[in-house]
Amino acid sequence: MVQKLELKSVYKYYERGNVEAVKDLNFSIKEGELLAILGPSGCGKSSTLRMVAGLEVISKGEIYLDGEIINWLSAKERNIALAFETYALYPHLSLFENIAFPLRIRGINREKVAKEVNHIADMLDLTVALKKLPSEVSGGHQQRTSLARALIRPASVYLLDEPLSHLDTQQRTEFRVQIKRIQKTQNLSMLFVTHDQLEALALADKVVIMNFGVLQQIGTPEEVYEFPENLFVADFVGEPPMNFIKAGLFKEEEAYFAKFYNQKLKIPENYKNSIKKFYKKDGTEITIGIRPNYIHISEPGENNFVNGEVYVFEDIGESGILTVQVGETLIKVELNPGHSFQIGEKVNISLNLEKMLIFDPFTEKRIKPEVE
Amino acid sequence: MEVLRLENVYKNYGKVEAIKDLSFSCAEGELFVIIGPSGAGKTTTLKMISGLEEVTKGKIFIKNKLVNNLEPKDRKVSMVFEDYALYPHLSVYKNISSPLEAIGVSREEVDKKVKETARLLQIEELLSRLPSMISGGQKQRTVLGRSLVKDADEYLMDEPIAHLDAKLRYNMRGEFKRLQQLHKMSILYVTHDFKEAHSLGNRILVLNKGVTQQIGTPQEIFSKPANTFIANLIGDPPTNLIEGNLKLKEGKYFFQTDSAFINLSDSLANKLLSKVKNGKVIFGIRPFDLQCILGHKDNVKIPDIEVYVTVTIGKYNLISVKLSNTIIKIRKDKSFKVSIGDKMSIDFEEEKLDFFDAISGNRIF
Repeated sequence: MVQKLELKSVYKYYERGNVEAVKDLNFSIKEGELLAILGPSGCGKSSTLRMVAGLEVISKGEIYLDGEIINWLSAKERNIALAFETYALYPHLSLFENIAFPLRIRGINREKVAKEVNHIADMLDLTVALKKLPSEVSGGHQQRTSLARALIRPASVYLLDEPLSHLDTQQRTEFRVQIKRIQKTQNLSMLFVTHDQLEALALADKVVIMNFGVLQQIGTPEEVYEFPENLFVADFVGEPPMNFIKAGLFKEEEAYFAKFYNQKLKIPENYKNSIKKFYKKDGTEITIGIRPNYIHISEPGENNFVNGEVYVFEDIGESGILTVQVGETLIKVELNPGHSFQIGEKVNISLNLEKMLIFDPFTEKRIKPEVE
Repeated sequence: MEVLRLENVYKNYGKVEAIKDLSFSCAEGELFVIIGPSGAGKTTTLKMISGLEEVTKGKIFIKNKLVNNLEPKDRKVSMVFEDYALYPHLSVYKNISSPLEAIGVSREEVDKKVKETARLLQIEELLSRLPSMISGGQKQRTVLGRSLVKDADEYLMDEPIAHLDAKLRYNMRGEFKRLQQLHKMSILYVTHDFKEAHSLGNRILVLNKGVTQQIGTPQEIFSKPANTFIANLIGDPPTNLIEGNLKLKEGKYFFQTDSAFINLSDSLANKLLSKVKNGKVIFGIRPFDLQCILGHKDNVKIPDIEVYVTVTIGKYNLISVKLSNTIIKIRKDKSFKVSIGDKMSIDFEEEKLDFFDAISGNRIF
């Protein structure tokens, strides 16, 4: 099957300052797929988007749209719809006319235009504002108008650059739902750029995570959340953030253990071969990664626990965040509502060892078990 | 003991009433949070307490002394602003000591205070560094240090961690809570983030357009929001609000919203009708209090409804359904997987519902 969009070994250099903004980037989008590029500012995600849109020259490599190379096509000649963070609306046109614009220039009849505009405006909660000018509405409205204008016309691929960044938390939850609904029901192929990991994981079928112009991991939201390739991805994805614990690897009889501050955790059986390869001597350094929701308060009699002291406990309504101090390390635990703890109280916590990840602290890569 | 008290305070800018009849008091050692959206009047309130803005009407007391007419420097309060700035050419030490030097405290006293504060904030080893040499979290502690170094009856904090990135904010929130619990400073803390308010506050005041909506413990506000404005502010995602009418048909009660129905028990319907004569109400139900059953099930609140869309938020799935024109969000474990168009039935316990008046938005029960 032909990919809707494909990047092959794409590079972007900015000559001034000799900056490599994007290095050897490869990924593709299938029809009806939503791919999110996620990363901190400066990671190269916007340069990538701009190269796909035709707003930046591709320094090296090829970009294909519907199987045809588009490197030399102008932005206009590419069958791509765009919605940018900065809305670029026509200031003298009403929101209705802004949204209708791509249909009008294609000579679509009046009735159909009205029907389509009203439909998309309803989904993005713009109906009551349609008669207003961009200057008369909030930034959030303008951003949704820009989004509506992009989504209203047929295109091979839709590019969205931080499309919800100007909305407040509640609106963002609303419109994530709507974007996903529109994308799935109309089977749109989409490339979405964001620095918000929550947004990327909520919407995407596939996530591309970048840092300093380099691809860190490409996978489903589930894969990047549960099986991050390296410490950067592990740390960047998930809220509350993943706990990292520096530990030493020890061998006792035929089993391996991670030890830190008088604590001892047995490395699960499925790691046997990979850990055997990694182990050099007792004390070989590893970094354990575990998400706060994969730790619980130990039941009496439960093995494999870690004992520490309550550093602080926060009741945040729907859940409780317990921070436990073990030696110099602070470990966050996400609990169900209904708990209460005092600072300094002794507490035993158990890690869900099946969800525990192990990293090489030097290469920062994850040490993978034989079976995941 | 009471440290701060506002009595019927108003603030007008020309014809705009920024604050209307605001009254509350903060006890010693209490962390009191004011939460509200932008434009609620949160910062204005802090400025009136610190003396940076005049009070239009009403009284402000600090330790039982009326301070309306005192200069800012004569009020024993210390303020941290949202958009903090450290002096880039001064060391962390000098940044923290500057407020004391400005008021002519002796050198030994300054040294003692700065070191105490730095120990409290665990930035002792950074005192000689410049702001450019420390991390975002350390900068934030330096800013807090500059406020805490001053003796104050009440510390006023305006969104002190709002502009930090999500991860740092998560950590700083815990650090801040620990600090306050260990040292029992009296703090009036302003935020727009409900999780922050819930985590930190001994009590919370919800403010909207200058008007108090509710004052209570985080648990009280979370479990019994006083109106739909608050219900919409709390929870992630916020409470579902469904507007409709109570109807009786063939001897059975149900709740009608546009063309859709929710089944109700007779006892609940009778209780509602005794409070709301016309039967017009708004239902509030939390996304995690809704149960989903795949396919059709008899005797449930909402039988046979289609999945509108699902998105995954971290460790849970957020499932949306469209009940006539209202989108209802349901929070489920990730293991519960459904797709657009799948048929489900929805159930919930009636005790978990909140009811609000359809016109005023105020809580009925």
